[in-house]
Amino acid sequence: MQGSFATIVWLARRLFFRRPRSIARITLAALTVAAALACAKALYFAANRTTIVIEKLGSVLNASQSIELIIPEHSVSPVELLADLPADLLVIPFVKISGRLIAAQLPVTIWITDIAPLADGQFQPGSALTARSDDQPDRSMVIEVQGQVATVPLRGVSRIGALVPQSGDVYIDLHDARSWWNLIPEPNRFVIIPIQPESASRLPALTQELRGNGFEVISMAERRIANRRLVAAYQQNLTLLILLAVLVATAAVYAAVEISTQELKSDLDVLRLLGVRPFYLGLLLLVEALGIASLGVLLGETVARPVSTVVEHYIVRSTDSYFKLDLAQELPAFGVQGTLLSLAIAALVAVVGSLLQGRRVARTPASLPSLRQRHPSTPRPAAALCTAVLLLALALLILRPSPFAAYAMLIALLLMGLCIAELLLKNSLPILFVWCRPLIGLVSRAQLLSGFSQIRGTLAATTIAFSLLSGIVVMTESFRISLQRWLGATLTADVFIEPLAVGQVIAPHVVDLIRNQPYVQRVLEAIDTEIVVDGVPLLLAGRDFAQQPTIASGVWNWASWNEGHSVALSEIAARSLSRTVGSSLTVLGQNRTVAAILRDYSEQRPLIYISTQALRSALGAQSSQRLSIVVDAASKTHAAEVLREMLAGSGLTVTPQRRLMNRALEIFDETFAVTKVMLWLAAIMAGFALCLTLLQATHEQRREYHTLWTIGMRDSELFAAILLQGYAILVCALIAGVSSGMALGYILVHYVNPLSFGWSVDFAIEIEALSIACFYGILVMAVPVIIAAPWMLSSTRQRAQAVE
Amino acid sequence: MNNSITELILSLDQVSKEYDAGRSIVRALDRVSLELRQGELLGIAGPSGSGKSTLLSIMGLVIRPSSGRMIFAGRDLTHGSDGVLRDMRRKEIGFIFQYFHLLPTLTAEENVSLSLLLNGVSLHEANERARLALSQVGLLERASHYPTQLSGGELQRVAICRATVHRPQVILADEPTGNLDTARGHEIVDLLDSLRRSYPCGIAMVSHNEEMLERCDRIVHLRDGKIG
Repeated sequence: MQGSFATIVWLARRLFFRRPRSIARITLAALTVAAALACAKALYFAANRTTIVIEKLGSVLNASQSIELIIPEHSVSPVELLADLPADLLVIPFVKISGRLIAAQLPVTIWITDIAPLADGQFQPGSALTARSDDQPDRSMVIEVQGQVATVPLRGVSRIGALVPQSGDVYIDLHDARSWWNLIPEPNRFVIIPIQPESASRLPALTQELRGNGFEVISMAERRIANRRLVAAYQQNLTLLILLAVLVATAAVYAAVEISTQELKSDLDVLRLLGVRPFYLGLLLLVEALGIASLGVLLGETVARPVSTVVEHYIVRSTDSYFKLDLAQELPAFGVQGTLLSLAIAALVAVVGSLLQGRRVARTPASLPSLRQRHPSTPRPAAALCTAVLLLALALLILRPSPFAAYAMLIALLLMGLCIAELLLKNSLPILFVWCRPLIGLVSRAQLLSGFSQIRGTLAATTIAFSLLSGIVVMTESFRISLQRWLGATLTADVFIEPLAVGQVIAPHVVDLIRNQPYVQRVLEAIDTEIVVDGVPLLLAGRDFAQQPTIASGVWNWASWNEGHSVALSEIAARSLSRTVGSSLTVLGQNRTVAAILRDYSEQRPLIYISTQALRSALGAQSSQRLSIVVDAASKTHAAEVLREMLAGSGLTVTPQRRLMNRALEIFDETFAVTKVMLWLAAIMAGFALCLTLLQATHEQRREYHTLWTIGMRDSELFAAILLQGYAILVCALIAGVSSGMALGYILVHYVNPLSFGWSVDFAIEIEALSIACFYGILVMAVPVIIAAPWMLSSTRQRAQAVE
Repeated sequence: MNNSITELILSLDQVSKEYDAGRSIVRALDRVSLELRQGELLGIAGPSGSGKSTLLSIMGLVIRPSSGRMIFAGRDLTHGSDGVLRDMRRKEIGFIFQYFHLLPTLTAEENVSLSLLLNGVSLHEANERARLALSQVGLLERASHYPTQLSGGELQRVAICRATVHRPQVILADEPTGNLDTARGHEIVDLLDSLRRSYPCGIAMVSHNEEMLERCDRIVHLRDGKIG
């Protein structure tokens, strides 16, 4: 026995695999891991879905050295200038126009050029290329440009995407574009690419020369770096949630290892009495722990694969209404990497768990009986450590905000959550059991405390799962509520009018006609135009606001705004231009003050807001692109209908405010549909963890249950006592998990979210949504409680029958 | 010897118990007949595997005999339902185990209260009566202690309190002194002896210890499932 590792393995196999109940434990641990992995995969998918295109484009062509030349409207054509360029610089002209996807009623940007030389052989005349992958030849989109509609068959991504990296854009050959739509304008973009790597050295001088001639030049390298930064920040946001899901799986595996070692305790005591050294007992535990962990992860992976496929397809169906991703091609790597990572984590957990357990076994005198007293206590050292980490992370976050500090803070919060859960469970039991019969309360409390060491690991898993669940709810609801508030402030008018065809404008006489209607109180005009400021391409948004817009920072001054002395920036623009409130900015040749930073959840492009009047003063007569109409109170319900009749045949759409608001929220809900899946997965994860705990705890305590049964406790009373234990664990995990989850949501909203999206969001706790999420959680977790209780009862009966 | 042994409480008539051991049938008890009366201290002796624990389990209504009759307080319980047996067990039988089997996270007082709570007594009254019972065995000061904070003798006294606090008609003790030294063992038997005098009950005690068995009113010897 003492000498060989083979003997240890021999003994471990017999101690471990000959216990039928281990199978139930492994299965449950594996299912917990499976749910966690499925959740992680869903998050991984969500994190990557939006970034795949950019990642792929970067590897297509060495275009990061290119520059994009933007030709402002009414400016001189640069054709002569470009004709003199050296032959080692390739000049590709583009026509950039706007269109509308008929099915989704969403705008799309179309890039028209001579595609054949750029398409890597993918191009087929009569089809368009997209920045997103789509290899289904039968798929097509109906696109409207300037009132003309064409059905455009789609092909996959091409190297063109690397030149103009805008995901969601469509690339069309010049010849095809002219056959589908009339009036294709002259090229308004030129991309200049160095053919040889050494040619890139010419670009800085060329950029300077072109800028000197009044042209706007954008470095693709700068744009790509900015894009990558955005991608990285976005991924950080979701990576954190993936880590939490993996943490739940880890806690489940550790719980299984811990429970298993306790189950073997009496056997280990015998082995020690026989003289086996603690080192070999540690090895024994390690072999068994590795077995559990590996089987758990492998089974978990096997289950997670189909589950995650279902989840992914669910996400695709709900969020990819007009572009489709080929998942098998886009996300092939996670399976292998995820399995290996999970195995590595599980192995590490198994080693640590075995070491800790082995140490505990070694320190226990062999002569003591297995059943020892566990007194209610407080996890003081752990709580002190968590407090220290929390304070340190808080200081870091305040002094030097960074993702690292945010993550440290989150981990500390989670640890605090676990300590809170343990404190609650150990010390608040009389309060928890105050509503039940004294007998049930007494037995539940006794059994819960007696089996606490079996519960600890799973209490952690359940708490983290609830933390994850409420964190997601808080984050999503904060975003939704902020969006609602923003929509409420933005869509203050009663009716909105815009041209049916993208790119068209509203004739001035139509504006006057509307303004002269007796029920119309105000007509607010909107004019958008592209400009470049400090090398950053922006949208200059001429706006009339009916009321103060949603301000992220700064103070709104109507007088300064109306006179055109001040402008406002969107949050993304403020970041891109490195401007804050009070900074000055040269817009349309005039120095203007940044009065406020505004929220705008409708645009990923950076926006500069200026009053419509000021825009017209600088650019001359510009027709409105959109109108917002404020009508008198008596006409609110039927104004849209009256205007629609009046403007019939004019090529304008008339939309009531309520419809726009609902549509915006619908799109949001579709986009965040993935969170519902994650909520269910988190709840199921916690459910498996709880089931594992209860089955093990009741199994470990079967002697006590047998005593209770022998002295006359009814089956129904035992059942109630077990139910109560399950719900005590649930309540404590719920309280601690939701508290730490809300803190987690706060960090996500205030620190991680701005890094990811560039938008600020109000922290809001929607009690209703949180309650529903918790209700789901409790509902799911009722199942394991109900499963565990009859199992324990039958186990007790079997024991009673097996006397002698 | 107790002179006040009167009414019959428990009677086993030609009771047998068989277990299916896979390839063969094991007969743990073979046509055993036995009576237990109020005020009686009955000793049950026998080597390991002789059927002592099976006999005690049948007397305690934990398991049913394979054949024979079982009468408890005048009621034939041979074919009684699970519920009837459980109710009788809860109200009329007290168990004392060799390894005490106290719930480790309940205090001594709570362990004793448990029996009363099981019988529908209110928490307040249960606590009062538990403390009274503990004071009668000299453990009032240890009422708030957990089992691990008590000695073997104290643990067994708490177990006796738990078994008797609700005044059952039958007390079944399975090797109650097996885990104690001689002095503590005598204390426990003294306690059992005083119990049967304090209220009408019968006690059956399984033991290997001849010294303890000598103090019983009657001794039944079991060998290979039969009364010798």
